Amino acid sequence: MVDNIAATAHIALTEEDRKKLAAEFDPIIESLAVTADDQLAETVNPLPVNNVLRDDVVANELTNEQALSGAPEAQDGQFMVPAILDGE
Amino acid sequence: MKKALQTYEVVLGFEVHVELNTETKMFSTATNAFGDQPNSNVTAGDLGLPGTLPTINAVGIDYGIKLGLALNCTIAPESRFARKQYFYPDLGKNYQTSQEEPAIAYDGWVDVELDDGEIFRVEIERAHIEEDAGKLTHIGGAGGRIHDSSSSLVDYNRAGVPLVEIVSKPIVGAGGRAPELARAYLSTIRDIVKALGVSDARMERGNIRCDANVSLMPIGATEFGTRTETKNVNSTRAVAAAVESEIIRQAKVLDSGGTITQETRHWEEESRSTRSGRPKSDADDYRYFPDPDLGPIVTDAAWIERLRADLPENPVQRRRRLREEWQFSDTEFRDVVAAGVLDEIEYTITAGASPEAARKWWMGEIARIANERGVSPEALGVTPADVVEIEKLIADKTINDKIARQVVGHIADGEGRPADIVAARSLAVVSDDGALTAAVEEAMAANPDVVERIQGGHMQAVGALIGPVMKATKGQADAGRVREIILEKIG
Repeated sequence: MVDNIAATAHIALTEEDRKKLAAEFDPIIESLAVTADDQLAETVNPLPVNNVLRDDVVANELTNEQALSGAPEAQDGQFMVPAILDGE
Repeated sequence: MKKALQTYEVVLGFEVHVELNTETKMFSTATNAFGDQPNSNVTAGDLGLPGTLPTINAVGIDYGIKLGLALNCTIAPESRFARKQYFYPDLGKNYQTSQEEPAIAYDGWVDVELDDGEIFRVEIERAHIEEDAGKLTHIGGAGGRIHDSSSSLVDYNRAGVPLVEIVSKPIVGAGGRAPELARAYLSTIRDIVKALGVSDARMERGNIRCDANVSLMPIGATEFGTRTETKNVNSTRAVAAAVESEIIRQAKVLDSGGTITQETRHWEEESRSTRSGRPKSDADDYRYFPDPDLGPIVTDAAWIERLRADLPENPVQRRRRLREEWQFSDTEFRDVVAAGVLDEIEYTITAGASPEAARKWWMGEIARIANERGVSPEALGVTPADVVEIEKLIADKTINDKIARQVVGHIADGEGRPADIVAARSLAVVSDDGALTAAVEEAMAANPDVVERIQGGHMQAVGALIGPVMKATKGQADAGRVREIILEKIG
């Protein structure tokens, strides 16, 4: 399971990391095992509130300057991100 | 392809993404528009900034339900939104808000009309609501491709734009007509969303995008072969070509004893073939889970029936009805549909013109001028009411056909309505006998040899006199009356 989560999260682990994490995961999984009961319905929202919808009206837009104000790098009014397929 | 079909059965599947034309995004109040300054149609939520919460656009839900109803789907009594996680910078949140099970609409079908009128029913698995991703521009590499690029620019204007993804069930039995079916299916979906008014439906802008799944299995087999998914084929012509090219490619691989790799592929217009993209397995782990920030959508009969009452006639049925009512030949009707003037002709007929006259103008002079000016006929500025008025001016002999064609050009130039143009430009046909008689006499005097021939019984020579008269009256003479006067004179 540790390997699977690491792969999904794109994290490289050493053998030592794996052993350490596996040991830390065990008690968490054991404590969650009590909820692994087919009789229990899945709960997503604790409150029975349905159809919370809003009107189709424009509001709260940022300007281009505001949008980019927190960007580590920007160019031509756009966010600049590192190469996506680096090494793949 | 013929050879491939002797050995293999084709199995198709389509995923069509339709961008909805709401005012705002699906889960934020930013503007939903194409072509604006990058990163100007965004809220903090669209950028995935901390402390923001999404909200659900009510119109987006209505549009999703409408589209589901038009595809004969069951509308989910209860559905919700889920987070689909993936690593890619085109969404600032690191996940796409989508729907897992159940979708807002599922278990439907759509009838697709092939070229010869045969109806092919495509079963719809589901239609779910989700959000579009931002636009990436890869820089520093060759030809703007993602490979070997040094970095990418991100515009989040499109991130969060409402989408409905329509997923078909596997389609078996199309055989040699698979490419044709692919094209017809995509045009049918486009026609439906256009008729519903839920999308601008402009494929060249990516309002509708199609992923085509193709697999082959030996004839008689029951287990589907390995499929490939050709992504983002964005025209009806391209989807037909992509399906055909993929059938041929896969058959070659299988014939030579190879196996098909399950992967995404990309359609390349230049080479008219697909190229390999990334391998894909059914086990891609997107770690879907219900979005705790968005509540469930619970529908009831009153809501659904209100939207159903609003549905336009199904485009395929409408075309059949109109073809019958108008009595056009198959070719004539097909040309009208291809020219995109079905609505205009219908409005023109409703406004009082005959089907023949409506077709003549929209497929004739209006189409010709529109083509010349590089716009679509309905955007030329000529209205159905103008066409009716022109027909009326012809019928009461105020203008003739030739002048009428000029009037169409003047309307397109923004000179006003037909009767105003005829008055302002003094285009009315000259049927005043005094003026016509003078012109006829002039023509006869200038062409004594022609007069002699007519007197000798060569009636077709009359035309040689009508010509100069028309010229003298700038084409505004009533040709029938001119002929009468000539014959009276020579009589």
